[in-house]
Amino acid sequence: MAKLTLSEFQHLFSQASLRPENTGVDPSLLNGIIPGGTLTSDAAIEVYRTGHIVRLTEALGETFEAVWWVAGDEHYFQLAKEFLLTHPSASYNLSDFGKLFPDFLDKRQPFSDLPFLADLARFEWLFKEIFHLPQHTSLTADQFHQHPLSGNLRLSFGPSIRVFQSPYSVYEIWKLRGTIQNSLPEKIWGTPQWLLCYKHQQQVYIKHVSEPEYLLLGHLIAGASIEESLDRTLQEFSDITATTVSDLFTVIKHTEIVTLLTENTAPISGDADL
Amino acid sequence: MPTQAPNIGVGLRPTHYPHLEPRPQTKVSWFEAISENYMDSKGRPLDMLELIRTDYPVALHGVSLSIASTEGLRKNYLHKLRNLVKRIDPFIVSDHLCWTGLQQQNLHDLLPIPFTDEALTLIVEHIDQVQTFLQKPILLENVSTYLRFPCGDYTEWDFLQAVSDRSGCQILLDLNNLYVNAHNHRFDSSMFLEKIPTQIIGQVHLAGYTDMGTHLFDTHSKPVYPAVWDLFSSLIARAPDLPVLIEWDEDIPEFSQLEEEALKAAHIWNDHHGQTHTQRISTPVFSSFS
Repeated sequence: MAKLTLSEFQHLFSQASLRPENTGVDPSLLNGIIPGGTLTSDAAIEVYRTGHIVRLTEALGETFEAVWWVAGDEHYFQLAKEFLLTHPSASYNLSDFGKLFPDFLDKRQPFSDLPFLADLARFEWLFKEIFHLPQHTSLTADQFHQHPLSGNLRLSFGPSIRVFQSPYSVYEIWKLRGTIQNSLPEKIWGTPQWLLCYKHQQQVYIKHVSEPEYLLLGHLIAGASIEESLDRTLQEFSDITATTVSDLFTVIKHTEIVTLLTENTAPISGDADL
Repeated sequence: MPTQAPNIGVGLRPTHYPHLEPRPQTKVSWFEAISENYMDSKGRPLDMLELIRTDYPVALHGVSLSIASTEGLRKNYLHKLRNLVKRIDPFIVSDHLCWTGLQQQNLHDLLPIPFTDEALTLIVEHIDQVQTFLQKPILLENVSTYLRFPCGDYTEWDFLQAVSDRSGCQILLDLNNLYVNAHNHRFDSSMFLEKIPTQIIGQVHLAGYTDMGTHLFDTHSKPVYPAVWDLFSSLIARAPDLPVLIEWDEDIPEFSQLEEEALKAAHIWNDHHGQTHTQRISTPVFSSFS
C-alpha cells in the first residue's frame, strides 16, 4: 500500500468522519494509521467521528435550546445528526453552525403535531445573532422630544434591532424551555405574533407589537421616512389610527432603539461625539 | 499552602462571567480566553473580556487556526484574529499543532498529523505566514491523539522541537495531552519531558482526562491527575518562569475550585523554588515579533 500524502489523508479522514451510519472506512485510511490504546483502527476513527457528532450536536443545542426541549432528547439527537452529516460546517467558528437548521426543519417537518418548530428555530437563531451584535448608543428621551416628528424624518436604528413574525407563538414556547410540560397544546402556540427584538445594556429584549406596528417598524428599520412608512402600512391596514402610530412612537422612544434622526441634512445622533 | 498563584492562570469561561463581572479579588494571575468566542462577538462576551483585561493579563488561545491544513490558512480568520489581538493586547497568542477539518467540511476538532517532513514543511510555512501577518510570535500546543501513523519521520518530541527550531515559534506544552498520548501510544511520559528543551516551551497547560477503558480521552472535565502533577513538578523544577494554565471545559466547576487547582500548582512551584516567587505577569512575556 502506497503511503498517503498529507492531503490524501485529510480528505479520507474527513470522508470517514462524515460518513453515514453503517458504512465502512476506506481501507487505505485504515492501513495508514496505528490505533491508540487498545482500540482497533476502525474504533480509533470512530472516536473522532463520534466526537464530531457530539461536538456539533452540542453546539447546535446551545443555539436551538428550545427546539431541543420541544423535540426531546431522542428526536433532537436524531435530527441534529441528520442535519450535521448533510450540512457540514464551512465556518471556522463552531457557533456559526446551524444557520440552515431552520430551513432544514422547514423542509423536514419532523413532527406533524408541532408545525411551529422551524419558526421556533428561526427565532432562536435571530436571538443568537442579536446577542452577538454590538450595543448601540441611543438617542436620549430629551433628544427625541426636542425634535418634532415630521413626515420626512428618517429614523436610524441600532444594529441589533430586528422585527420578527410567525403564525405561531414561538416566543411563548421559547420562554417555557427547560420547564416540565406534559404536552404543548395548540392554545399555547396557535396564535400569530409580531415581535420587536432589541438590545439594551447588552441584554436582549423581546416586545410584542401588533401587526400594523410590525409593518410600520419594518419600513422604518428598512430606511423609509415616517411618511413613506405610513403610506406603505396604510396599503395593508387602511384603518390604522393616529393612536396606533402614537403608541408605536412611544414604544420606540422607551425602548431606546433609535440612534439617529435625519431630516434634510441636519442629523441628530445618539453618539456622544456628534 | 499559598494564598495566591503567581504565574498561574485559568480559562475564562462564560459560566464564570456572573462571578467575575463585579471584579472580585481572585487568587489567579491571568486569564486565557478562547479566541473564537470573541472574534465574532460584539456583545457581552467581548465586554467581559475587556473588563477582565483591565485587571489581568490575558492570553488568547485559538482552536481553529488549523495550521496543518493542506488547504491553507483562512484569510478572514487571520484578519479577525489580528483585530482581536490589537484590541486585547494579549501576552500570548496560541493555537494547536493540528488541523481541524477541510474548509467546507470543518470537523471542529484538534486532529492528528503524521510527524513527517511533508507535514513539518507545511506547518513551518504556515507559522511564518501567521507570525508575519500578526507581527507577533505564536505558540502551538501539542494535542491528544487516539491514533498515530506508521509513516512518521520523527517522534512527537523531535517533531515539536523541529517545528520550534525551524519556525521560531514556541510550544505550549499541555502536560495532560502529553500524558494521554504516552498512555495511548505507549511511550514514557517522563522521557518525553526530558527530551523537550525548556527554552522552546512558552506556556504550560494542565487539565484532566477521562479513562475510556480502551484509551485515555482528553475531556478537560476533571481535576488534574496526580501523574500529570508529577510531570508538572518535574518541568517546573527546571523552568520556573513558565506561565501555567488550569484548563477546564466540560462539567465546569465553581470558580473557587479552579482557584484551588491554581493554588495546587503554586504549592508545587513553592516546593521547588521557595515562597519568594511573587511575580505577576503584567508585561508581555515576549518582545515584539520582528
